[in-house]
Amino acid sequence: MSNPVAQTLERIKGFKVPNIGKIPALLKREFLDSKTGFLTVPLVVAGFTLFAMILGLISLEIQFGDKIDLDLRNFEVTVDGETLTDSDFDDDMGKENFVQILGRAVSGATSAGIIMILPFVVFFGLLSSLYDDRRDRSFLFWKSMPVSDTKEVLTKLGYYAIVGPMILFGLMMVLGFFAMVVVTPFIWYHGGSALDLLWIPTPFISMWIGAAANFIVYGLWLLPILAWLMLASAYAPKAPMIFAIVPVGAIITVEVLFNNGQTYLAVALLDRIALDYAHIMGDIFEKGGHFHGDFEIRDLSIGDAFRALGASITNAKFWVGQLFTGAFLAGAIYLRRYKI
Amino acid sequence: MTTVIEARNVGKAYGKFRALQNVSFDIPLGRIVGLIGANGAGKTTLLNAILGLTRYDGELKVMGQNPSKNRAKLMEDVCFISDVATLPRWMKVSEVFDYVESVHPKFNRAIALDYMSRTTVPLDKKVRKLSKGMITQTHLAVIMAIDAKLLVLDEPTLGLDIIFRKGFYASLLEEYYDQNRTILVTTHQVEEIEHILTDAMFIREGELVLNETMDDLSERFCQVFVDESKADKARAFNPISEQKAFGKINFIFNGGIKSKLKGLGEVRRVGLADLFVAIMTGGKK
Repeated sequence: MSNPVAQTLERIKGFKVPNIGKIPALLKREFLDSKTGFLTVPLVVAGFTLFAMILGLISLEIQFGDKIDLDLRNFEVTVDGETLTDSDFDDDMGKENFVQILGRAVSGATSAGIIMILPFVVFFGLLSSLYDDRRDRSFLFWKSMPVSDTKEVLTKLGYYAIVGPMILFGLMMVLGFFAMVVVTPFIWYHGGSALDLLWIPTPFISMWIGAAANFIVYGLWLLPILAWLMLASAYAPKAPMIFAIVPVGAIITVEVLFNNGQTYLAVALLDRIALDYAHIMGDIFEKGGHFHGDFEIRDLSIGDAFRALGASITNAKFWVGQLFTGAFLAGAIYLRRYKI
Repeated sequence: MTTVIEARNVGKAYGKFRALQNVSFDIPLGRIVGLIGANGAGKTTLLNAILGLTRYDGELKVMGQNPSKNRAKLMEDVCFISDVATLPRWMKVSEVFDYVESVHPKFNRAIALDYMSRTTVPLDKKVRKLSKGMITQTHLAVIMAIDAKLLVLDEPTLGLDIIFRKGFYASLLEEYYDQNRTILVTTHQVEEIEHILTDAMFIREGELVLNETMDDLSERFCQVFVDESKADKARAFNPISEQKAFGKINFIFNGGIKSKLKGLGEVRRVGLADLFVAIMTGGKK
């Protein structure tokens, strides 16, 4: 189906709009194909998390309710009839800090389960992205449609690198919201104002959007690895995971054996997956004057994402990686086109 | 007359094995062509080349396009079913139609749904829950709803029962085929498609050994059941095959000599399957 906006523009000005008309349909297909990993499993995990949280809060009340009295109106804790004073706490645990931590801890901790699913869903999703439909022969149906192999491969990459993870971030935002809903009666029960202690100090939408935007930039660093998984998926006659892992393991082993125990590939992989991006984020936090010194929560913002993007595209290592991305993708597209 | 497929010296080698060699032919619009060959003769390789699914040597133009370079564009005018049951098993039937509707400019959902309404295929079930026959019916609904010029079918009914197979070809002939469409089909069940073909192509060890209209074939070839006593007379006309059957000998002749054979016995049309066997085994038995 051609894009009506593009059609109108073409009619008015003879203007050629790049045809993105089929991409939403291709993304939707990827979503349907990966719904278990990106929706069903996270929803189940989210359900369990909320359930465990409710159960945990209730059991804490039952177990310690008569020993410890938490007064969230005056911000006092009384243990066995003895009220603790400020000096009993670490400086960091005053009310000001408590309200900053509470909402983030609640929504962050409950989302940990979902974020842990993400690498697995992306890893296995990409490994099967160009393999499963060859195995069950349904690639012959996809190929009978007027969609180019390049578009197919790039859409799959875009889905697993960006769209799919964004679905999970959306779920985390929703789960975070419900986690805060669950904590709300708990605060009321202890005489506090949920609005003051939880809902106002926690920017629960913007902090997830900020985190998601930063995740996209991190995803750009991972592109060579994601593209490698697709190449393995496009090539493998069976068991794509073996074809993805064994060559890497073999190169590292050969390096270690013949290069005095040194391995450039393993170091490069570690840099790619964690260290390079961590340096960039470290710089951003330092320049923002937050990371060190006072205890203060610093949410990731969209601004941080742009700063990280700026630091990435001016980083030579980033581009060396993208050369590999290009080569692996070209290989995957070629195999997709001609391998029967 | 518009030429749908133009092949000139098309070849394909896998290492030293030559799967196709020097294949040249033209297929015009409005034909139903049967591509017939033994297993491994190169049928699927040729079809894959036509569909842009594999690389090849030589020149090939399908709807004026180079299939190896422009598969996506070509698929706006070409449909194919390669193998049985290639629909994605994790999709619901209705999602298959959604997908095709959103990527194919020439797909008409109403036609697909009309055909489906005459089957028992449930639209809300996943493809993996359907029987093989139902999957084929769904695929046929997709194909029939696409306004294409060329339909390529590679063993589309393999493993289906006779009722589904008959229904499949009947639907194609009655509801799909017209003078503005060409169908290219391979199958091992030659007898079942023989009556719908306008042309036949025989392929052996990667080479095209016969490419004629069905009318020309029935003009050129004939068979006569001859009593053993007249066998030598029959052999004088150089039959391309002879086979004992029911106390008589079945001779197949080439060369439009029907009138000369009348004294030997009843002259009959040769079935495509018999003709294929006669030409492929290439000798007297």
